[in-house]
Amino acid sequence: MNEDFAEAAEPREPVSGVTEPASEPSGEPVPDEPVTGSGPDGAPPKPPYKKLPDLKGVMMRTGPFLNAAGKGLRAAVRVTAAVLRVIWRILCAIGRFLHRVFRKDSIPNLILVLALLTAVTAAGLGVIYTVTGPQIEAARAEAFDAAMGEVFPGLELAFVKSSFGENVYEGRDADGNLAGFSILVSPDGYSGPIGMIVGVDLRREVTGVTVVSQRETRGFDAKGTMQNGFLEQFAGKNGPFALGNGIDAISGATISSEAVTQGVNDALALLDREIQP
Amino acid sequence: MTIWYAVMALGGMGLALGLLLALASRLFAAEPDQRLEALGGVLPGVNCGGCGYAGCGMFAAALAAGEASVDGCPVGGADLTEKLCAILGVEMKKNTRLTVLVRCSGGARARDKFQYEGIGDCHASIRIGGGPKECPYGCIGLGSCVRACPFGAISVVDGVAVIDHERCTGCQACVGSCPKRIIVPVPYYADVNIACSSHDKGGTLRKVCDIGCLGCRICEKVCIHKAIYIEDNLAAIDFEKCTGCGDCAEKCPRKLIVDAKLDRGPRLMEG
Amino acid sequence: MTQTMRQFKNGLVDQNPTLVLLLGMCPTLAVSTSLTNAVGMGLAATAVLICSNVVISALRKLIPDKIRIAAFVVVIAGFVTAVDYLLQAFAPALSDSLGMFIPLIVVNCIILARAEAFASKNGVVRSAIDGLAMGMGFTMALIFVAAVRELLSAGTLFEFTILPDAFPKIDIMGQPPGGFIVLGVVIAVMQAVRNRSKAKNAAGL
Repeated sequence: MNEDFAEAAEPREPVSGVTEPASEPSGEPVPDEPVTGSGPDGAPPKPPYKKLPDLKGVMMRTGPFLNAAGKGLRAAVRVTAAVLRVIWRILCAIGRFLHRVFRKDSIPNLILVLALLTAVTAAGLGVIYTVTGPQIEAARAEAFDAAMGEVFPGLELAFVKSSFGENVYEGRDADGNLAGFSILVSPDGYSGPIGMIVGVDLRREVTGVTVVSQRETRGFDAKGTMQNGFLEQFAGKNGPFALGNGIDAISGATISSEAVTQGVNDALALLDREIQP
Repeated sequence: MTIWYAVMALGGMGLALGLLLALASRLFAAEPDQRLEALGGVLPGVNCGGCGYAGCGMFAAALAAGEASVDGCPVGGADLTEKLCAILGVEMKKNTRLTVLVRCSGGARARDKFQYEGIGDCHASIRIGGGPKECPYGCIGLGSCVRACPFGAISVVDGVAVIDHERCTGCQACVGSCPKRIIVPVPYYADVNIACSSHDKGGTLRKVCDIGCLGCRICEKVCIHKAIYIEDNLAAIDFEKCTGCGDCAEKCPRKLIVDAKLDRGPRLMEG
Repeated sequence: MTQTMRQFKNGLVDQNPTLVLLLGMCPTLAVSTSLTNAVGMGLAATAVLICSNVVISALRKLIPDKIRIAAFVVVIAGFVTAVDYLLQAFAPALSDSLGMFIPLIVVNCIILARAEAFASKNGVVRSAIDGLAMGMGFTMALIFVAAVRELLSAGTLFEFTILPDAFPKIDIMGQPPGGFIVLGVVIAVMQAVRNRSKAKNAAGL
């Protein structure tokens, strides 16, 4: 028992392989400080071992460069900051100056506010007009065509000023073909000019007559005799027209009827003059 | 491009006109009283003419010139008076705000001469023998004043007209509407008031009313400030001297004197 | 009653611009010959009123006192012109029949008065509501007057024939004297309504 104990108490050999690397199974010892002297003859471990990047060397070489760069960057930042601060101070000074000049009731402020207000309003209106302008033109043209086209019942024409004078308008259909003329005349009636439109087609026949404005007497044509009776008589005929000769006057309105008849004749004469000079 | 033309044309006009206005404002500058703007700012601006001036602007001018009284605006009330005083640097006196008081506490407690059935208007009823009440000075209670008040501050309670002092603006439209002339303007801040108008001697009065003033002079003797006195059998208060101590109200045998702020109204009979 | 409700009651009844404050009489008399014109004018004026109130309220702290009126007029004129363009483009018939009274909206007292009395002293939302309320009051007044005038002078409403042909057409109603008369009557009616409501308030206590 004692011997066993002594045997057991004897220090054994230390378990080697304390530094035994984990890569042992691969058969290639890691080139650490080879404690176990894994080299075949004690010389430094030879490749092939995995060559790690020489970080230390890299760091040694690039260190100073990075330092310098860092210092340079910091310097750059400081300079930029200083410049920005100066710019900011200048802006503030300008702002203070402007604030002093353009105080609430100072003359420059009065002028500025009014000028700015009008300019902005003008700009706004300009924008609105670019949007609505075309539509306004279209609406006007449509209204114009409708008025001129009243003497061409049943047709849809577009009217443009003709080359034949101020009061003659050419009516063209959808294909652009000339369909007829609308002529504006204003013969003198009983108490003032009677504004009329006379429509003439290409066969030089009157297509229709309409009265646009008149000041004859109060309530003249309240019953609409002109539109539904008198004026219809001119349609489809060639002229020249005369009361009593195919045209019946409105009873009790001879002078007005005469004036309108004269107006139709005038229109046809105008057309004749212009088309066959 | 047209937009630029528009901007320049109109902007140019604005510039020119701004210049014109600026020059005009310098050339034709008048030194307005600084207070006028502040005054105008707090006045209601409705130009009702209740102050007696043709609009709030004129009232402000009169205030600044010291011609108008700070409590002249019936619409603004006490709040407005305070603000006006602040702007003008005037101290607000206690009796500055006015309200009105119906100088009668009778109503159901005053005897009727006869039963009146007719047009429900005080003016109409007094045509018939001076009105249905025995007391010739008292409130008839048919509500002519109620209808005259544009603010709805008067109502008839228990046969006598009563003022709601919070709604009352002191416009005094009711004063002229009472045929007995018993609605009178009184200071809003007065703590004591006599709600009776009867000059009848004590003996007569006892027969016609349960609460009216007898002229017994007890209040006069009790008041240490000499603020209350009897004149022609009726108590009256000198508001300059009255401190609102309430001694008179305590000692009045009829319990007539209003012993608290006006809006509590005359004391109702217990029981 | 919320403040908004009070503002509407103000614009429609208590301080109706046409019938109580008696502002904007000229366009009222001119366009109330026909109900369509009246409604068109009322809506156009309301649009301008709301827009100008909003802008003037938004700029109230920036506009110096000395050019106040010029600035207000510039803003109002801007919006009136815009409305004019829109009407010409999209409702040319209405534009023609209202004629020169559309540009006259610029000097319609109602718009300038509200700008001066309200928008320059209150916030944007309140001013917008005030514009709407006052505009509605104006339109309502126009409708009342125009309905009576069109009905009596032409027997129509919105150009639809309402009265039978046998009913006499009172020409004068379509002319200025008739306009004054009808307007006067409508103002009197409005006054009666306001007095009754005041009396009811007083008696109800």
